[in-house]
Amino acid sequence: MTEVLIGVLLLVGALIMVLASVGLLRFGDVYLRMHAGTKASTLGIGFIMIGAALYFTDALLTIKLIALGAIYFFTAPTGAQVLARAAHIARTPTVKETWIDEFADSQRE
Amino acid sequence: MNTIFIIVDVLLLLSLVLVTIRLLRGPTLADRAVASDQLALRVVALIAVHSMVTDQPFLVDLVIVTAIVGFLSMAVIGIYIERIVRRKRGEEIGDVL
Repeated sequence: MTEVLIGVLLLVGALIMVLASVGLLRFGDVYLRMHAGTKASTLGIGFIMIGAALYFTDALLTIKLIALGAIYFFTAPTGAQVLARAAHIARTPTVKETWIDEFADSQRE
Repeated sequence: MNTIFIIVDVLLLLSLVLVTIRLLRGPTLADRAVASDQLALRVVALIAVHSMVTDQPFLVDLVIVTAIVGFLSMAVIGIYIERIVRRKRGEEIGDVL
């Protein structure tokens, strides 16, 4: 029973990783790529970490894996925010469908 | 269980290849920074699966180090881009870092 659960978790995590990579490859500009990569990959690594924690059934290791998940849930948005801000300051072009830009509006005021 | 590990490894390698294509093609430096961070994340997942395959739980420590290094590389490249651009335009750099 646990093996089935671990297998499903690992497969779902790996599939989400592949979908995030497709998004990273296909999307039009830096901000969309960042959105695809950061959100989906964090979810995928969360699934794989839960699978590993169930596989080893060791208390210390489970704490380590939970800490790793927490590290990702804090660092991935922080890094993406720093990088998106830098890309915006460098005036990286967006796709032409993007029409709202609140950061530029707040800089202009 | 072994079949599932093989399938998961193949899927992760496929996503690694896709991210590497973006890393090589990426038009701007920010694209490459995102791709390298995602590369570190895929390596983390591969190490986690490998620690399960070989039944060596201490490899998880390696995973934590890789995670922190990947985040730091992304953040440092972001701060670097911002400082370079602002200096080139002659703006004051301010208190970023």
